[in-house]
Amino acid sequence: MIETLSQAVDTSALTEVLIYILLLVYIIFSAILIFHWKNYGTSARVYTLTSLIYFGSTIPLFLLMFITRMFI
Amino acid sequence: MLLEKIQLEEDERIITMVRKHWFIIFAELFAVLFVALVPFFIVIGFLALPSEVGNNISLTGYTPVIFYTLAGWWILSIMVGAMIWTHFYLDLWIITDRRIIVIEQVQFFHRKISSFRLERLQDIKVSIDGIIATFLNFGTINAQTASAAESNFTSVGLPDPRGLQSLIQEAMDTRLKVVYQNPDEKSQA
Repeated sequence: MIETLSQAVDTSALTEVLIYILLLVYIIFSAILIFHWKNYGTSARVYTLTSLIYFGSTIPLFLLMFITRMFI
Repeated sequence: MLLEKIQLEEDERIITMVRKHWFIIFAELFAVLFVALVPFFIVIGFLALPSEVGNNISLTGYTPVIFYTLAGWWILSIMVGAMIWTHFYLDLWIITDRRIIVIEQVQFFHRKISSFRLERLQDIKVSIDGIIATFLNFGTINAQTASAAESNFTSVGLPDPRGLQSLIQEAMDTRLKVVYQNPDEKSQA
């Protein structure tokens, strides 16, 4: 069944579209997140720490997605 | 930052700032963590299939697709986690020696900020429901003001609600003494 699915769908094109949609959503979401923290946060230290954890975990995952997409 | 934007009155002093109890964020982030691990459970489920069923299913050759999907899934999970954390952190009760400021971050771009003066405070109700809330000491606080035009202020999951209640009452008593000793302050209010 999986073989049939991979034959029916152009996986490479699909993954490319999906990654760019996710990237777009991510950029908009991150901008909203930063806006809220900058305007309504009460501690610069917590804001910095949150940003470090958020971007430090998501950017490597995007890199992983782009790298693995090359092999699909 | 928020505190630079809140216009405190002259000589107004912040007594305390309260966020929801840590268990509230813990429970929500734990649910996100569980959802983030769902792909692992699916893969484990595939591998655990009996050989008669699993003979036709082979994950070999799909490693890039699996890693691609996992990375995408985790990015979405982290985004949800960041949203939950942001809503938790930006929800705030600021108690000053003159008023209570309640900030509720309902959603992104949906923020409620209410403020009421301590001398207008009529009643504070505390409710602690459930085993976990009782053991971890968190609950709901409902503050009712004297003015009919103003609505009540309710916040769920606040830590040490009885301690908070007595702190507010103490601040209210002090404020009332000041107001009655110096009626000019009342007219300013």
